[in-house]
Amino acid sequence: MIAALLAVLQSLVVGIAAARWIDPAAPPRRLLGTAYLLGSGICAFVLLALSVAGIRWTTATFTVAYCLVAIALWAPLLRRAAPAVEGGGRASLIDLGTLALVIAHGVYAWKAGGREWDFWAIWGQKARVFFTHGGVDWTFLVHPDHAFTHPDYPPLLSLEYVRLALLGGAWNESPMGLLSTLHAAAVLLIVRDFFAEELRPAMAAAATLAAASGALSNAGMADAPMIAYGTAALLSIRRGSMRTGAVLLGLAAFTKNEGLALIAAVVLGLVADGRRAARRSAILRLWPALAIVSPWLVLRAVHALPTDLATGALSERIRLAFSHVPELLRALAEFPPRHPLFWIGVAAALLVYARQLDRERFLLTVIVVQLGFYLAAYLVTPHDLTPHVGSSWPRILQHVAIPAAFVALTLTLRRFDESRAA
Amino acid sequence: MRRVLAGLIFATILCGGLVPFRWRVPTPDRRAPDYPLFLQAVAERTRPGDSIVILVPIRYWRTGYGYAYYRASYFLAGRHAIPILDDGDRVRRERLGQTDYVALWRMPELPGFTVVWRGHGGVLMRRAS
Repeated sequence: MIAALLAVLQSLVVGIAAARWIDPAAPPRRLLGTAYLLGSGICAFVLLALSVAGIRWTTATFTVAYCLVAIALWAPLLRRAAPAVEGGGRASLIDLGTLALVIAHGVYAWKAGGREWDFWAIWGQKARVFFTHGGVDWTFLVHPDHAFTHPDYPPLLSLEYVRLALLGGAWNESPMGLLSTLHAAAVLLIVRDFFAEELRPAMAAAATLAAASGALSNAGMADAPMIAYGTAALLSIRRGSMRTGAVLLGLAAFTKNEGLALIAAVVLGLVADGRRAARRSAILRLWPALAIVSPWLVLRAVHALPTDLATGALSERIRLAFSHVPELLRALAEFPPRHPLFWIGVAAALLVYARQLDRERFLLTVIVVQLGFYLAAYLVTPHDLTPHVGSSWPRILQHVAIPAAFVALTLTLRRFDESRAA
Repeated sequence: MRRVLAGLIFATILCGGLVPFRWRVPTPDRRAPDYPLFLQAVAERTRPGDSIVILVPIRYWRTGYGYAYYRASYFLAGRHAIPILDDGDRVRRERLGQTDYVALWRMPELPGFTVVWRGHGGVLMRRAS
């Protein structure tokens, strides 16, 4: 528990400075949520940089490097005047419901620790090897016996686990499970403020409560940080906070390969949304996303880490993709979303308020394109299609649950308020 | 009417997210509760860099050898856990000739190796010098 608290504190100290740099006017809740996400990403980069520099990870080497980064971020800010904070809105009693959900998830996540297959076979597996090795173990990653760990997957979450082990002085799975809750709490703070910009305080709190299940995912897996970084990025970009959005988008890509796909989906979303000059400028302002994920992509290429979706001849894979369509449709019918009623509600809102969807063209395009990428990946999967869909579709659908709920809930609750006023 | 409709949609999304409210704590070792204990004991008796062939009484990756090998790789982080099966489920006996240790779980002991430790349903053996 102490390791987890120290990790949160570390993330917040550097994260608040980073958040002040990229979004100085963020209100307290959004600042806190963004700070945690940015701080965790910065700490992961510190570990990766140490490893690339050939410096063995120890509590001491990490702490020195972390302090240097913290000083570099904070020193210029201390000479600046405190920024004017905008928006945010009051807290509501309904927020206690969301808080209770987060606490309940924390209890579950602590118990679940590292018991999920994806933890001990992928994210935690690599973290434990790296922790024992004292750096990223490229020899382990390139060995054919270890292809099951998906060596090409981005390392943010594994590096987060390493940081917890370094802070705790030993490998301990329970606080690692808790990271899922912390990522969820961070994104819910951000989402709460974005709802507050669209709705009155009680409605914003109710909308956050309704969307909360989208953030609270399986403990020990990479979906929680992917949801957190991806959702925060999309809602920031929707608001026009391109710098914050682009940085968070880059961190989503540093978390999961689906985050890389999300960058492409965001570009298409901006193309669909803006006027020509505005969209070109907006797309160019996404450069931090590529800058953040580039070091990993370079390392991945230099070490020739294998990726299972790119195995085999292209022509054969395309032929197989078409032949997989009927099986994919059957598998999707067999494995429905984790919260079917939630999605029925979202779909109902989009149908009933279809005339108002134009202003949400960006988010809706990104959601559709991202899901399209997921379905395309299933069609070229080298694994058995039906079990692959069954083990992942209900889980990865959650990546877009909050953005979808955001559109549905803002439309619905705004209409609720308007009809009450009338 | 519009207000009722909006309220219904909101209630559907809210209840849909909460019900069924199920966060399941997985039990990855329910069929072999002593296997992780065995692996932990093997980790304590070997050093980083050692190579260890994993032998369990399952002949196919899909029917359980995959679980046994991946779990061993996790607990034996830093050592080189070597599968006795190749991708095509063929037994690769030559790998026994290239290893420092064999970790046998619910398997008979092997000639050419000496027992280092026995417990939790398995035995750790080192190449006889």
